[in-house]
Amino acid sequence: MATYLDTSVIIARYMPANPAFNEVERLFRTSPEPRYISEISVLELHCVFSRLIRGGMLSAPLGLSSFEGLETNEKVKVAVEHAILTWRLTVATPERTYIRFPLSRQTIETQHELFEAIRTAPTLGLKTLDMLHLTYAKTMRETVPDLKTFTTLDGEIISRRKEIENELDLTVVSPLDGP
Amino acid sequence: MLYNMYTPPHELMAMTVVPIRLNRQDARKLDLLVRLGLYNSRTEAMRAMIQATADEQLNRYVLNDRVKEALKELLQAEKQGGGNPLRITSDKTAAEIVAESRR
Repeated sequence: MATYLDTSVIIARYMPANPAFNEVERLFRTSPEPRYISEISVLELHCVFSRLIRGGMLSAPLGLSSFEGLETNEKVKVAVEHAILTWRLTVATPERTYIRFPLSRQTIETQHELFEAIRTAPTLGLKTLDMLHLTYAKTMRETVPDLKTFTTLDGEIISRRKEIENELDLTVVSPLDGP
Repeated sequence: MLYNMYTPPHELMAMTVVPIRLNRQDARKLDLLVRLGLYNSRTEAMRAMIQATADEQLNRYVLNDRVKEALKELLQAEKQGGGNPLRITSDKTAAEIVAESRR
Protein backbone atom coordinates (compact mmCIF):
# COMPACT_ATOMS: atom_id res chain seq x y z
CA MET A 1 0.00 0.00 0.00
CA ALA A 2 1.17 3.55 -0.72
CA THR A 3 0.32 6.81 1.01
CA TYR A 4 0.08 10.51 0.22
CA LEU A 5 2.12 12.26 2.89
CA ASP A 6 0.74 15.57 4.09
CA THR A 7 3.19 18.44 4.67
CA SER A 8 2.34 18.49 8.38
CA VAL A 9 3.89 15.03 8.75
CA ILE A 10 6.93 15.89 6.64
CA ILE A 11 7.90 18.91 8.72
CA ALA A 12 7.10 17.31 12.09
CA ARG A 13 10.35 15.40 11.64
CA TYR A 14 12.19 18.71 11.97
CA MET A 15 10.56 19.47 15.31
CA PRO A 16 11.79 17.32 18.22
CA ALA A 17 9.59 19.37 20.55
CA ASN A 18 6.49 18.59 18.48
CA PRO A 19 4.07 16.32 20.40
CA ALA A 20 3.94 13.90 17.46
CA PHE A 21 7.72 13.80 16.87
CA ASN A 22 8.34 10.27 18.18
CA GLU A 23 5.43 8.76 16.23
CA VAL A 24 6.50 10.59 13.07
CA GLU A 25 10.10 9.45 13.51
CA ARG A 26 8.87 5.88 13.94
CA LEU A 27 6.86 6.18 10.73
CA PHE A 28 9.92 7.68 9.01
CA ARG A 29 12.19 4.85 10.09
CA THR A 30 9.96 1.79 9.95
CA SER A 31 7.17 2.27 7.44
CA PRO A 32 7.98 0.46 4.19
CA GLU A 33 5.09 1.90 2.18
CA PRO A 34 5.93 4.16 -0.76
CA ARG A 35 5.26 7.82 -0.01
CA TYR A 36 3.87 10.28 -2.49
CA ILE A 37 3.40 14.02 -2.63
CA SER A 38 2.08 16.33 -5.34
CA GLU A 39 3.19 19.53 -7.00
CA ILE A 40 0.95 21.31 -4.47
CA SER A 41 3.10 19.80 -1.70
CA VAL A 42 6.26 21.00 -3.45
CA LEU A 43 4.88 24.54 -3.51
CA GLU A 44 3.77 24.23 0.10
CA LEU A 45 7.17 22.96 1.25
CA HIS A 46 8.78 25.97 -0.41
CA CYS A 47 6.30 28.34 1.28
CA VAL A 48 6.53 26.75 4.73
CA PHE A 49 10.33 26.51 4.76
CA SER A 50 10.59 30.08 3.40
CA ARG A 51 8.46 31.43 6.21
CA LEU A 52 10.40 29.45 8.81
CA ILE A 53 13.80 30.50 7.46
CA ARG A 54 12.79 34.14 7.12
CA GLY A 55 11.55 34.00 10.73
CA GLY A 56 14.84 32.48 11.90
CA MET A 57 13.08 29.27 12.95
CA LEU A 58 14.97 26.75 10.81
CA SER A 59 18.61 26.10 11.54
CA ALA A 60 21.30 23.47 11.52
CA PRO A 61 22.34 23.54 15.19
CA LEU A 62 25.22 21.12 14.73
CA GLY A 63 27.15 24.01 13.20
CA LEU A 64 26.95 22.87 9.61
CA SER A 65 28.67 25.87 8.11
CA SER A 66 27.76 25.28 4.48
CA PHE A 67 24.05 25.48 5.34
CA GLU A 68 24.31 28.47 7.65
CA GLY A 69 26.33 30.38 5.03
CA LEU A 70 23.65 30.14 2.36
CA GLU A 71 21.32 32.87 1.15
CA THR A 72 17.66 32.48 2.15
CA ASN A 73 16.57 31.21 -1.27
CA GLU A 74 19.37 28.63 -1.24
CA LYS A 75 18.44 27.47 2.27
CA VAL A 76 14.87 26.94 1.10
CA LYS A 77 16.07 24.81 -1.82
CA VAL A 78 18.29 22.75 0.50
CA ALA A 79 15.49 22.22 3.03
CA VAL A 80 12.99 21.14 0.35
CA GLU A 81 15.54 18.81 -1.30
CA HIS A 82 16.46 17.42 2.12
CA ALA A 83 12.83 16.71 3.01
CA ILE A 84 12.07 14.99 -0.30
CA LEU A 85 15.28 12.94 -0.30
CA THR A 86 15.25 11.81 3.32
CA TRP A 87 11.52 10.98 3.39
CA ARG A 88 12.04 9.17 0.03
CA LEU A 89 9.08 11.04 -1.45
CA THR A 90 7.94 10.58 -5.02
CA VAL A 91 6.40 13.67 -6.55
CA ALA A 92 3.56 12.35 -8.67
CA THR A 93 1.83 14.52 -11.22
CA PRO A 94 -1.67 13.46 -12.22
CA GLU A 95 -2.40 13.20 -15.90
CA ARG A 96 -3.63 16.63 -17.01
CA THR A 97 -7.28 16.29 -17.79
CA TYR A 98 -9.78 19.11 -17.83
CA ILE A 99 -13.45 19.44 -17.14
CA ARG A 100 -15.88 21.99 -18.53
CA PHE A 101 -18.86 22.95 -16.46
CA PRO A 102 -21.44 25.73 -16.52
CA LEU A 103 -21.27 28.47 -13.92
CA SER A 104 -23.09 31.82 -13.92
CA ARG A 105 -23.84 31.73 -17.65
CA GLN A 106 -20.19 30.98 -18.38
CA THR A 107 -18.42 27.78 -19.24
CA ILE A 108 -15.58 27.17 -16.84
CA GLU A 109 -12.73 24.94 -17.86
CA THR A 110 -10.69 23.58 -15.00
CA GLN A 111 -8.26 20.83 -14.07
CA HIS A 112 -9.89 17.60 -12.95
CA GLU A 113 -8.50 17.90 -9.39
CA LEU A 114 -9.88 21.41 -8.99
CA PHE A 115 -13.27 20.27 -10.19
CA GLU A 116 -13.25 17.41 -7.68
CA ALA A 117 -12.36 19.90 -4.95
CA ILE A 118 -15.22 22.18 -6.04
CA ARG A 119 -17.61 19.23 -6.15
CA THR A 120 -16.76 17.92 -2.70
CA ALA A 121 -16.19 21.25 -0.92
CA PRO A 122 -19.79 21.56 0.36
CA THR A 123 -19.65 18.11 1.95
CA LEU A 124 -16.15 18.27 3.39
CA GLY A 125 -16.00 21.94 4.39
CA LEU A 126 -12.20 22.03 4.49
CA LYS A 127 -9.70 24.74 3.60
CA THR A 128 -8.86 25.26 -0.09
CA LEU A 129 -5.40 23.70 0.05
CA ASP A 130 -6.60 20.79 2.20
CA MET A 131 -9.15 20.05 -0.51
CA LEU A 132 -6.53 20.23 -3.25
CA HIS A 133 -4.17 17.84 -1.48
CA LEU A 134 -6.99 15.36 -1.03
CA THR A 135 -8.25 15.55 -4.60
CA TYR A 136 -4.70 15.31 -5.96
CA ALA A 137 -4.21 12.18 -3.85
CA LYS A 138 -7.42 10.74 -5.24
CA THR A 139 -6.50 11.49 -8.87
CA MET A 140 -2.99 10.09 -8.41
CA ARG A 141 -4.53 6.70 -7.80
CA GLU A 142 -5.09 6.42 -11.56
CA THR A 143 -1.32 6.12 -11.95
CA VAL A 144 -0.56 4.67 -8.49
CA PRO A 145 -3.38 2.16 -7.91
CA ASP A 146 -2.35 1.20 -4.37
CA LEU A 147 -2.32 4.81 -3.12
CA LYS A 148 -5.20 4.42 -0.70
CA THR A 149 -4.26 6.44 2.36
CA PHE A 150 -3.68 10.08 3.21
CA THR A 151 -1.30 10.49 6.16
CA THR A 152 -1.69 13.72 8.09
CA LEU A 153 -1.42 15.39 11.49
CA ASP A 154 -4.06 17.98 10.60
CA GLY A 155 -6.85 17.71 13.17
CA GLU A 156 -9.47 19.20 10.86
CA ILE A 157 -8.77 16.68 8.08
CA ILE A 158 -8.68 13.84 10.61
CA SER A 159 -12.04 14.95 12.01
CA ARG A 160 -13.59 14.53 8.50
CA ARG A 161 -12.27 10.99 8.03
CA LYS A 162 -15.63 9.42 7.35
CA GLU A 163 -16.78 12.05 4.85
CA ILE A 164 -13.43 11.93 3.01
CA GLU A 165 -13.66 8.16 2.75
CA ASN A 166 -17.21 8.39 1.40
CA GLU A 167 -16.54 11.18 -1.10
CA LEU A 168 -13.02 10.46 -2.25
CA ASP A 169 -12.46 6.81 -1.31
CA LEU A 170 -9.33 7.77 0.61
CA THR A 171 -8.52 6.54 4.11
CA VAL A 172 -7.18 9.29 6.35
CA VAL A 173 -4.54 8.05 8.77
CA SER A 174 -2.45 9.77 11.41
CA PRO A 175 0.97 8.74 12.75
CA LEU A 176 -0.70 9.09 16.15
CA ASP A 177 -3.04 6.19 15.27
CA GLY A 178 -0.15 3.84 16.04
CA PRO A 179 1.25 1.01 13.95
CA MET B 1 -24.18 19.49 -12.88
CA LEU B 2 -23.58 19.11 -16.61
CA TYR B 3 -19.99 18.77 -17.67
CA ASN B 4 -17.82 17.04 -20.19
CA MET B 5 -14.24 15.88 -19.85
CA TYR B 6 -11.46 16.04 -22.37
CA THR B 7 -7.69 16.21 -22.62
CA PRO B 8 -6.41 19.11 -24.71
CA PRO B 9 -3.99 17.74 -27.30
CA HIS B 10 -0.44 19.05 -26.90
CA GLU B 11 -0.20 19.50 -30.66
CA LEU B 12 -2.57 22.42 -30.33
CA MET B 13 -0.15 24.34 -28.11
CA ALA B 14 0.10 27.83 -29.59
CA MET B 15 3.37 28.86 -31.21
CA THR B 16 4.80 32.30 -30.65
CA VAL B 17 7.23 34.28 -32.79
CA VAL B 18 10.44 35.42 -31.08
CA PRO B 19 12.53 37.82 -33.15
CA ILE B 20 16.21 37.10 -32.60
CA ARG B 21 19.37 38.94 -33.66
CA LEU B 22 22.38 36.74 -34.35
CA ASN B 23 25.87 37.72 -35.33
CA ARG B 24 26.98 36.53 -38.74
CA GLN B 25 29.17 33.79 -37.28
CA ASP B 26 26.31 32.16 -35.39
CA ALA B 27 23.95 32.57 -38.36
CA ARG B 28 26.48 30.83 -40.59
CA LYS B 29 26.82 28.00 -38.09
CA LEU B 30 23.05 27.54 -38.17
CA ASP B 31 23.08 27.55 -41.97
CA LEU B 32 25.83 24.96 -41.94
CA LEU B 33 23.77 22.67 -39.69
CA VAL B 34 20.86 23.03 -42.10
CA ARG B 35 23.09 22.41 -45.13
CA LEU B 36 24.48 19.30 -43.48
CA GLY B 37 20.92 18.03 -43.21
CA LEU B 38 20.82 17.99 -39.42
CA TYR B 39 17.85 20.37 -39.42
CA ASN B 40 15.33 21.45 -42.01
CA SER B 41 15.60 25.15 -41.22
CA ARG B 42 17.26 27.75 -38.99
CA THR B 43 14.06 27.85 -36.94
CA GLU B 44 14.06 24.10 -36.40
CA ALA B 45 17.72 24.18 -35.42
CA MET B 46 17.22 26.96 -32.87
CA ARG B 47 14.11 25.30 -31.46
CA ALA B 48 15.99 22.03 -30.96
CA MET B 49 18.88 23.79 -29.23
CA ILE B 50 16.58 25.70 -26.89
CA GLN B 51 14.72 22.52 -26.01
CA ALA B 52 17.99 20.75 -25.31
CA THR B 53 19.55 23.39 -23.10
CA ALA B 54 16.70 25.23 -21.34
CA ASP B 55 15.98 22.43 -18.85
CA GLU B 56 19.68 21.97 -18.19
CA GLN B 57 20.12 25.68 -17.45
CA LEU B 58 17.08 25.65 -15.20
CA ASN B 59 18.43 22.67 -13.27
CA ARG B 60 21.72 24.46 -12.81
CA TYR B 61 19.89 27.52 -11.50
CA VAL B 62 17.74 25.53 -9.07
CA LEU B 63 20.55 23.36 -7.75
CA ASN B 64 23.74 25.38 -7.76
CA ASP B 65 27.01 24.08 -6.30
CA ARG B 66 26.50 25.80 -2.92
CA VAL B 67 23.09 24.16 -2.55
CA LYS B 68 24.48 20.78 -3.56
CA GLU B 69 27.37 21.09 -1.10
CA ALA B 70 25.12 22.07 1.83
CA LEU B 71 22.72 19.25 1.03
CA LYS B 72 25.57 16.75 0.90
CA GLU B 73 26.84 17.96 4.28
CA LEU B 74 23.38 17.62 5.83
CA LEU B 75 22.87 14.12 4.46
CA GLN B 76 26.30 13.06 5.70
CA ALA B 77 25.64 14.52 9.16
CA GLU B 78 22.34 12.66 9.31
CA LYS B 79 24.01 9.40 8.31
CA GLN B 80 26.70 9.80 10.95
CA GLY B 81 24.58 11.25 13.74
CA GLY B 82 21.43 9.27 13.09
CA GLY B 83 19.09 12.22 13.50
CA ASN B 84 17.79 15.07 11.43
CA PRO B 85 20.41 17.87 11.55
CA LEU B 86 17.85 20.53 10.58
CA ARG B 87 15.70 21.88 13.39
CA ILE B 88 12.53 23.95 13.43
CA THR B 89 12.19 25.98 16.60
CA SER B 90 8.62 27.07 17.17
CA ASP B 91 5.96 27.08 19.88
CA LYS B 92 3.49 25.86 17.29
CA THR B 93 2.96 22.26 16.23
CA ALA B 94 3.80 21.06 12.73
CA ALA B 95 0.09 20.88 11.91
CA GLU B 96 -0.41 24.47 13.10
CA ILE B 97 2.52 25.76 11.03
CA VAL B 98 1.14 24.13 7.89
CA ALA B 99 -2.45 25.15 8.65
CA GLU B 100 -1.25 28.74 8.99
CA SER B 101 0.18 28.68 5.47
CA ARG B 102 -3.10 27.24 4.15
CA ARG B 103 -5.23 30.07 5.50
